[in-house]
Amino acid sequence: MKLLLIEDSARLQRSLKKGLEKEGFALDIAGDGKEGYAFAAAYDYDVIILDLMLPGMDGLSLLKKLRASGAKTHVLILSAKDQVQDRIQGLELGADDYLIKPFDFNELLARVRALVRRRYQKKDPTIQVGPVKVNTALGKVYRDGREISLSPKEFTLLEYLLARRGRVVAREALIEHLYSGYGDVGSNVIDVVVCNLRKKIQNKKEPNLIQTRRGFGYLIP
Amino acid sequence: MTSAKLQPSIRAALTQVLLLGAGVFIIAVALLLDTAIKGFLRDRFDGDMRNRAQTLITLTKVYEEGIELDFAGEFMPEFETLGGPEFFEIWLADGSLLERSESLMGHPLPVGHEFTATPTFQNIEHDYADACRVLRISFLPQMEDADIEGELSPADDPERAATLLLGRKRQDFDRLLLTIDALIWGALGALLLLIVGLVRVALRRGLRPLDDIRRQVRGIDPAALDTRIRLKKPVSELVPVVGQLNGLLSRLEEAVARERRFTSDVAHELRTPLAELRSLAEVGVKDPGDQAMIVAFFNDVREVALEMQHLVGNLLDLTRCDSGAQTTALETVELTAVVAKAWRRVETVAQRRGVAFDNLLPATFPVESDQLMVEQIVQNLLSNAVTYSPEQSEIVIEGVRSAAAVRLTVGNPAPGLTEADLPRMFERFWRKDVARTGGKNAGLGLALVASFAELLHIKVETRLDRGRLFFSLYFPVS
Repeated sequence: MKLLLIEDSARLQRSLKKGLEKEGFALDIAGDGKEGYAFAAAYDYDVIILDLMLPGMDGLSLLKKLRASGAKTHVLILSAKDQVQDRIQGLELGADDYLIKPFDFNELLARVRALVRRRYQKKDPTIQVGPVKVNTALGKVYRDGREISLSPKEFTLLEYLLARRGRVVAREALIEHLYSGYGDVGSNVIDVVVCNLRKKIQNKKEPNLIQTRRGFGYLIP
Repeated sequence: MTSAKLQPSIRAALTQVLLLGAGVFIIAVALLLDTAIKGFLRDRFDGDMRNRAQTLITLTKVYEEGIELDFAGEFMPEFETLGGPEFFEIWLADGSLLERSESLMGHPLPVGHEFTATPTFQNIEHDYADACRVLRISFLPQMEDADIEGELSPADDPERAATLLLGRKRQDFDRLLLTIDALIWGALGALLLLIVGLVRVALRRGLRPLDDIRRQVRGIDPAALDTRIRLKKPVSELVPVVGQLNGLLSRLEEAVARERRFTSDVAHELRTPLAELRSLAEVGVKDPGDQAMIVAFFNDVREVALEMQHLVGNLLDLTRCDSGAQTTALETVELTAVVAKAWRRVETVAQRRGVAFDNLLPATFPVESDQLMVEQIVQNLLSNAVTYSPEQSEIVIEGVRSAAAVRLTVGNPAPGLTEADLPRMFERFWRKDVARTGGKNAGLGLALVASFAELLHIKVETRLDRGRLFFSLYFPVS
């Protein structure tokens, strides 16, 4: 899952990047409004976390412009402006959620995950694949009632494939979604992650839950 | 509205005074008029009776055969009509009745007919003639052909004097008096009622603008102070009052707006570093094993703490200035040393940004002021200059001493600034760029400069000249 953080506080950028990446999200960061808009327009992020008071272009203008261009990306406003009218204005301009600073990091995480789920139109955070049960809200995976420990990348890959269940997902798409920035990781990284994931969620004798489509990518049927 | 009843009201006071004044005056006039008219009519009534009596007396004459009344009923029919409005009896000195008018129908008058030296009137109730007035007058009957001029007074010869009792019914006269009374007092009542009505109408009309103002003032919503009081018709007495009220409202609105902006700015300035702290702590605690991250986070936490300390210190200073709790201690302040000290604190940042410093102050440049506050003022001006000057530029500081003042000027390039920004720079939390997150400058520095300068009677002047910003401090010369 790939997020865009548009926030001018360098310290918030640092802590949120660390925190969200450790949870398996890929994160791009823009420090001002104009740069943020360029990022948002250039790539289809799952969620944009948007500060309101930004140099260059303020958050509400950015949001307005983004919505005017037809982008449907889920936007979570993260602002110190706590007045009801600020929140109403933000939501009316097309924000999907509003969180007031200071905020609880876990709440931010939960809200971002909820927005991701909403993008793939799932209200129920649990998905069943054969003997494996995935809870996307808690970030946990169970097999036969026992919890399986996955690395954040493994979990995100599983979640992303599940979100596009039945469709083949290209390696490039997976890289874009799993890693920050552009093209600085080799495509075999994905193969490694898939291999490790398979080992954890299934026995060797069973048919693959994650199928390989040579030359195209991966698929969970 | 119970309180309105307890308080003196213009309406009540005016009504009271007007009614009391007009009432007393009108009643006095009515009383005078009543007495005068009635007195006049009574005199006329009695005078009439006297004339009548005189006629009868003249007609009573002493003939050779004795005293007789030479009375011709056709000339005085009121005495002849039975039960008529006028009647008389004439008694002789020996107590015999000379004549009784027909109108009495033989009924004697219940009045004594003794001699009286002066004519007397009395009111009586008579069985046949109802309420009437009777004139008793004694007279000496005239000798026939006697000269009237030589008439004797009856008192000269009471033995010969006859007495005339002349009566007249009062019914019509009393009715007339009653009518006059009714007219006067009725008119008075009507007049008083009219005044009450007029006073009320006049007051209601006159006070309508006041009521209007009261309604409008009551309708002012504390949350929306942009309403102004408007008179439907300008009244010369109230126009200044309304002007003052509206002026007060404007000032209130401004003050409230400033206060709101300040509170929301403070909230914002505190929330942002709090968000940073929380986020650093919450992310850090999730993975305490990541040493590099934890150390970086701790450095960030320290930075945030220093900024908050700075912000809270500035806020406290401002609050102290506002509440008048900031005390000043005047002493000799060496500005050259103050500037050097302030520069040392910003030197690192200045070098990093390539900002040079041209100090044109003389070796010694003393003023009388408060050491600590002047240090803060100079520090804030220099920090600002270093932060907002473009890279590779120069800050100039100079001092000029004249008879009127000691001037210290800080000049630096400020390409982004416009004339309109100059007065706003001293507002709390003002920044050229609305984005306020981060950094040591929360936008309180210049506000503090303004507050401190005011306390120390230092005049602050800002000037933009060809893209350069000049801050001048004019220290008072004692």
